[in-house]
Amino acid sequence: MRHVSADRLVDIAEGAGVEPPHLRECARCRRQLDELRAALSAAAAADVPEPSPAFWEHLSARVHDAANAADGRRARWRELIVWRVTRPALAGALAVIFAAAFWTARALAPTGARPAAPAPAAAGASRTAVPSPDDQAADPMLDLVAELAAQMDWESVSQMAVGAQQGGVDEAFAALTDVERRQAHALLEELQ
Amino acid sequence: MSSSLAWTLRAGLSERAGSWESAANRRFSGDRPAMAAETPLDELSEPALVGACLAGRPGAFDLVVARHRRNVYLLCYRFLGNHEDASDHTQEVFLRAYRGLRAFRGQSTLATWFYRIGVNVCLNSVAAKRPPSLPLDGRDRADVSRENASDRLLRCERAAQVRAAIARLPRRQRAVLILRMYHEMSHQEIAGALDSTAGAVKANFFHALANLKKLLDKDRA
Ligand SMILES: [Zn+2]
Repeated sequence: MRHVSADRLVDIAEGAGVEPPHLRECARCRRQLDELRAALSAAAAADVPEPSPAFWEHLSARVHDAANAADGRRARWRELIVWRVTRPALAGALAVIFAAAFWTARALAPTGARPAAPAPAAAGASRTAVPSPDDQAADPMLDLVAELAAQMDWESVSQMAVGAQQGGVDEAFAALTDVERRQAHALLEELQ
Repeated sequence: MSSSLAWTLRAGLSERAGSWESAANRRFSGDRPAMAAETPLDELSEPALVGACLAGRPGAFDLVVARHRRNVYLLCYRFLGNHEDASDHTQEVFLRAYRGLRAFRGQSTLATWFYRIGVNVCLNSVAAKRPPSLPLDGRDRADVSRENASDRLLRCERAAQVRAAIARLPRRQRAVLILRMYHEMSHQEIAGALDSTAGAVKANFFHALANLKKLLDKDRA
């Protein structure tokens, strides 16, 4: 004897299917169908208490505030990422520029002269690497380069170049605490 | 090298200028200039409303919340059995939706998407240990005007008993039963929300009802 399938019984119990003749002959299928109908009826009567109308506005306000707070946390993490991750990367990139400028200047300078800092004028033979002050004025990014360069001496440029070769971003991440790192990963995933 | 250098320098400059605020940060704030020709939010289609949220239009996500909060709350209540947990989890569902709105591509309705998030949030919740709460104001769906006090008490007790039995069902069966019985979702829609098939959903529903009947019989015995 082939019994009525479970999904067919569900359809019949929900009123979406015609009862097959088998149901009149088979006590097992009949019992199963009765049980499904009883469970449906019991479940349908199980109301959920409805909150007061004032609750809905309160709930909306809570969601609104929580989302604003989440945005604030995202913004703070962005700042942290920019400050603690991109700053070393920026320093590494600058180091490469300064190192190139330094070696170019040293190659062009009279023997024995060691520049104290990567002087823009000394890079005249390499205008693509280090633009003139006029070009810098036209490009705000190079303003930043010039401003940062003014605060550095040769030793720090050398150290930055070594750091850049070893992976400034990795080191910056390594400097974060475990909690900061986990949150930074979560934020980076969110930002993707 | 040059592109990463440019990115790095731009990041540094942006930091200096403090200009890292994204559209997501402006979804709620009112700092976006109003556009005279904008269609009122409540006249937008659902995809357009989602687009307005993503564009940071003030009030857009508030309207989404207002439209779906009752269904999400009732879903959470069905899973968790008390008002406090249902409120907390409803907020969590909307927060997750807010953060993940970019991932919503209109492959389902927003309602189905919220149910999907809601089921995940509630099933993964470990906090829901509070006892079931009593009705807040007795505004149940049944017509209570002609019901005497003892009948009403009996009905409330019976409803609580059924809800408690549903809470003891296996997770998948519970999710299917709640979505089918109380949120009028088709088997196909439930399959979409639970990453399943309509056939598997029907099988889950069958077992959920059969187990519910057994649990209720056992409670009465
Ligand atoms: Zn049979």
